[in-house]
Amino acid sequence: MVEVEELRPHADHMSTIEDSDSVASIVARITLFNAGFEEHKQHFHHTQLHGTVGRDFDCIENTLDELKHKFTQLKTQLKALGSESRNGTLDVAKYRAKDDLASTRYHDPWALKLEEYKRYGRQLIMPEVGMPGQLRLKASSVLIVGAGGLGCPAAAYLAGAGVGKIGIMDGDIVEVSNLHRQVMHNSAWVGKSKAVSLGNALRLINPLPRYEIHPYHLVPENSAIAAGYSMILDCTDRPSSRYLISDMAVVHGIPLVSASALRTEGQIMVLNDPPVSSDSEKAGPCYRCIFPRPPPPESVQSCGEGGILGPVVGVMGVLQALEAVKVIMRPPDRPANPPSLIMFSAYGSQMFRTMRIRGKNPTCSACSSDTTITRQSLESGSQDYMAFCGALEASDVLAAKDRVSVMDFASMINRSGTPVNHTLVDVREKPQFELCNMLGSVHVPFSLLRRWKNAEEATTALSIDIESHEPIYVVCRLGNDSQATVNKLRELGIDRNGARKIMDIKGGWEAWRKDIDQSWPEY
Amino acid sequence: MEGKIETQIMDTMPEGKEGSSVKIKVLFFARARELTGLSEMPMEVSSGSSAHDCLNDLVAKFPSLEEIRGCMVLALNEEYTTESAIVEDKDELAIIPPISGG
Repeated sequence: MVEVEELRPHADHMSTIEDSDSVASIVARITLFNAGFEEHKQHFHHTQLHGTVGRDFDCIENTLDELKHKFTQLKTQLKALGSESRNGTLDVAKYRAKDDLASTRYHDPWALKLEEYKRYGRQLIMPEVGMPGQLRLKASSVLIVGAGGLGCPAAAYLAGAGVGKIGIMDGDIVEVSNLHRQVMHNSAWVGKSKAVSLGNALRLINPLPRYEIHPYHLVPENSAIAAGYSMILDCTDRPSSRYLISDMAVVHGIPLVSASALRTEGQIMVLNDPPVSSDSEKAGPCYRCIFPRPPPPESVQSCGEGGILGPVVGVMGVLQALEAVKVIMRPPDRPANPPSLIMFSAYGSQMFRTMRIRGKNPTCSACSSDTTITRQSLESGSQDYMAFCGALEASDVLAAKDRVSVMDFASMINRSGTPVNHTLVDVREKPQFELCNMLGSVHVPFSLLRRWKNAEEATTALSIDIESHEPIYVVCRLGNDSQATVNKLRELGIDRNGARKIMDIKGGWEAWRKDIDQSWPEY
Repeated sequence: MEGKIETQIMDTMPEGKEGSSVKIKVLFFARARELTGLSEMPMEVSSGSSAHDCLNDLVAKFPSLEEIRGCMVLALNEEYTTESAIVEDKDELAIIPPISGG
C-alpha cells in the first residue's frame, strides 16, 4: 500500500482550504493533484504489468477513481462559489453568515465569551455549576493570604475555575525547602517573591481572571486591602495571622475559608458565612468564636520546625478551593452549610472527620454586637496580634557563662571529630539525629528527656557517672531545646550544685554549619 | 494504663452510684496526639461524669495536656460540646487543639 501513502501529500494539500485562499489558487492545487493522481495511476499500471502488486491493484484503482470523482465535484462547487465572491477572494465566513442569518436574532447575546464556554465546559455542564454558577465565579474576587503550601493549590484551582479576580498576598521569597509542597513555584524562582511567582504560574493556567499581586506581609495597617474582595482564604502559617484575617473578614463582611496543616494533619473551616453584616441571626461563627484563646506559643510549631508532608498540606489547599467555590456558587436563597470543622489525619484510622462546630458566640470579642474591633481600630494598628498570641520567651534563657560558642566547642573536639573528655548530648528528635550527627555524641530526644523524673533516668540514658567531673555539652538544631535541657539536667541534680559543668552549644548545629563546617547539611 | 484509670474512677465516683460506669473513647488530634503519643484511647469513667471530669482525668494521666487545655475544642460524637456535657456509654470524646501551620 505504499503507493496510496504517497498520495497523501497531494491529498493533504487539497484538504486544507483556508477562507482566505483565492479560487485561482485552489483550482491550481486541484490541477496539481490531478497531475499527481495520473502519475500514480501510470505507476500502478506499470507495477501491475511487472507483477509486483498483483491483486490489490483493482481495489486501489477503485479508491482512486472515487477520490477523483469527489475532487471533480469539489472543483465544480468551488467554481460556483468563486463566481459569487467579490474581488476574486472566497470569504467562507461571510458566506456562512449570509444576510438572512445575520439579520435574524435567533439567540440572546452569549453570557460568556466563546473562549470561556470552551475553557470552563467541563464544569459548566454540571448542575452544581451551570451558567449561574460560572457567572457567580466570574463576579467573585478572592484574596489569598499566603502563597505557600495551602495557597499554591488553592489559588491554582480558583484560577482554573474562573474566579474573576484573585489577589495573592505574601511577603516571603521562594526557598528550595518550600518546593516539596509549594507546587506552583519552581527551582528557577528560588530567592524571588512568592506572590509574584504564584501570580506568574496562575496566568499560565488561566489568563482570563484579573490578578492582583501583593508581595508583602499582611499587617493590621494594610488590612484595608480586603475591601476589594468578596472572600478571603487564610493560607498562612501562624496564630497571629489567623486571628487578624478572621477579624478582617468580620469587619469587611466577607466569608473566610481557613485551613491549616502540620506534619500529617490538617483542619479546615468555612467561617463568617454568611457574614455578620448580612443578617446577624444567620451569620456564621468567626475564628474567635471557635478558638477564642490562641494556643500557647510553646505548643505552636511551624512547618519548618515540626515538618510537613507535602500532600497533606496539598489536600487542605485543594479542599480550601473546593469550599470557596461552593460558597461562591451557592444561590442566594440557599442557606449556608452548618458550621463544621473538617479534620484530616493522613495516618488516622479514619482519614477525614467532619465535626459540627458551634455557631456564632454571642459574646465573641470580634463578631458580637458589642465588639471593640472595628475596621478603624484594625487599620490603626491598635490591635496587637503578636501580643495576643504571645511569643516564646527570648531564647537566651541561660546565662552567658552557661553557654559555649560553636568556636569554643570546635576547639574541644579532636581531629576525627570525637568528643574529648566530655559528653556531648544531642537532643534533636530521632529523624533529625539520623540525618546528620557527630561521632561519639549521645542521642536523647528532647521529647523523652523532658519527662524524666529522677537523676537515675538521666544517668542511665546518658551513660554517665553521677560522680564524674566531665562536663556535659548539650546541642540541638537551633539552640532552644538545648538550653531547656541544661535546666532540666540541673533540676535533676546532675550538675551537683555546680560541681559539674553543664552547658549548651549556642545556636546549635545551624550555627555550627554557618561558622565552623559548611559541609554540615542544612535542612 | 487501664489500671491507673480505674483507680481514678474510684476517686471520682459520685455517691450512691458505686459500680456504675461508662466506657468512652477519647480521640486526640494534632498537638494533643503529640503530647499523649496516642491517637485514641478507651477510658472508663463513673456514670454521670461530664466532659470536664474526663478532661481532669486525662490531664492527671498526661500532665502535658495542661498546655493546650485553654485552647482546645471538644467534640462529643462529632459534634461541638462544652465541658459541662455528660458523657454516655460508647461516646466518642474528641480533643481538638487548633493547627496553625500551613
